[in-house]
Amino acid sequence: MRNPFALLGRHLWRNRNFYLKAVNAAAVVAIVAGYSSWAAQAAEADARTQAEAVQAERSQTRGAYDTDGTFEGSAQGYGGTVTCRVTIENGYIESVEVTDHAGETPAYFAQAEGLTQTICDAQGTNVDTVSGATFSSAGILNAVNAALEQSNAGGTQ
Amino acid sequence: MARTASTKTRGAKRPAGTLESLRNGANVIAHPKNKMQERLRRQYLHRGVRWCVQFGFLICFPAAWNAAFNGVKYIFTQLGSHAPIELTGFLSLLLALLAFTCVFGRFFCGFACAFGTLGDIVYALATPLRRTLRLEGKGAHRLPAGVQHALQLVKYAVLVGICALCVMGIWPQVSGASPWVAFAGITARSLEGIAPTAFAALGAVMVGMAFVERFFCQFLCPFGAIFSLLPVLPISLFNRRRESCARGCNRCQDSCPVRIHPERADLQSGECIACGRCADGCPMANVTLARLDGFKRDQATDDASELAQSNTRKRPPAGPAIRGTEVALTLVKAAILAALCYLLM
Repeated sequence: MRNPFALLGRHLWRNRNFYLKAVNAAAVVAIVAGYSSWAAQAAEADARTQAEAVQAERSQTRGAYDTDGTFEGSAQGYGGTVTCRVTIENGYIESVEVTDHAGETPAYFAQAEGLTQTICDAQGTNVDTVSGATFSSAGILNAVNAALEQSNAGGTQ
Repeated sequence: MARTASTKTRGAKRPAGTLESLRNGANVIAHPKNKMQERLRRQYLHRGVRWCVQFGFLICFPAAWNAAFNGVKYIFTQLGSHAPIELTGFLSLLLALLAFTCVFGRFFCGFACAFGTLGDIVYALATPLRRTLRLEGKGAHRLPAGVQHALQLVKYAVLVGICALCVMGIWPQVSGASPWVAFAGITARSLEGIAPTAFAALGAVMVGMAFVERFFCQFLCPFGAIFSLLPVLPISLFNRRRESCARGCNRCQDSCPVRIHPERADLQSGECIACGRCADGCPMANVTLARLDGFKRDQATDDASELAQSNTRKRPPAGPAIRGTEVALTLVKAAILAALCYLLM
């Protein structure tokens, strides 16, 4: 029976290259993951301060849209009608949600749905469509436009 | 098995020097005709399977290389702009390929990468040209091994350069001239808006591919540079069992596109693209994957000395080996890789 430590040592030495590379790769992955979580936290903090600034500004002045309330609009998407509900508060777009998208292909629509947040941030529909989901994007944008027109027309709801 | 065979030989107590003992002593190459036929059959089968797998991946996933390498560029772009790194589709494909490579070696390079397959096709088509120029065949001039190994370091510079450009955020401005853009345009059948410099670069690379096998893969590929820095499980590396090699036979290294020797130290350099040509080309089936040595080593040396005494040249038994180019093994690896690409692309 050979000394197990000697066997282990021989194994480690014969495969030293493998173990060195494994340690290196683990270190790189750890650094990237660590950086990523740090950057994510920083970005989150950034977004929070920005949101606070926006909030402070909005409580001072009234936004571009005439009537407060909740408005619905519809438009043609890729495979049917897309309906969006827009909430206006103090003249600002507070939230956009899609209430009906029965005709859309789910995978593409999931891409386009991120537009609702973009519209809230931009306070309007003058934003780029999502590449790869152009028709679903156009459906959302036009539906939101229809809802915003209702707000500016004095509010029918 | 070899042990029982040797006892049988000694038990028969045949006198040395007869025709009978010559036959027995040379039983490594017993039935030379069958052995030769078997070897050729195996080589052709493996070559066919390799081409089939390569064409399959070329048709199904021509953009796998680009998509996964986009993950690398994405990481460095985010690093440069201090933005968080999210697990995008490119990044998950990249991670899957890296994990696959750690387990199975650079099978992706050898069998699945579209650029590698392009290189193989160009090299195969240019064979008559190389014959005419006396760059192939007997007594042909080949790139000296030292030069080839030195040129293999260029790809690390390419990788560092691309990463640096990504960190500085100017990669999108210069990427238009990369040969990959032209190749992607051809596979996507849309050539609009592709700079002529990209086609010039692709043409230059293809000229290289015609004269040096796997020219792009071993000299220029930045993704290959990353792969070669990965720890590959020692069990998935080709390995040569030298004891029964014919003297002067250098077939394994001669058939290797990246010119490494199937010895442990060389293989751990990470250059091996797991194409299996060394194992295919070996007349003695001495090159295998995963010889689990260390287990039966003592027994092997005992047997070797015993055999030396009995004056028969027979292969000393070693631990169990997995043959690297078995069709089934190749297909299993290809299936796993195809599943990863299908799920993540």
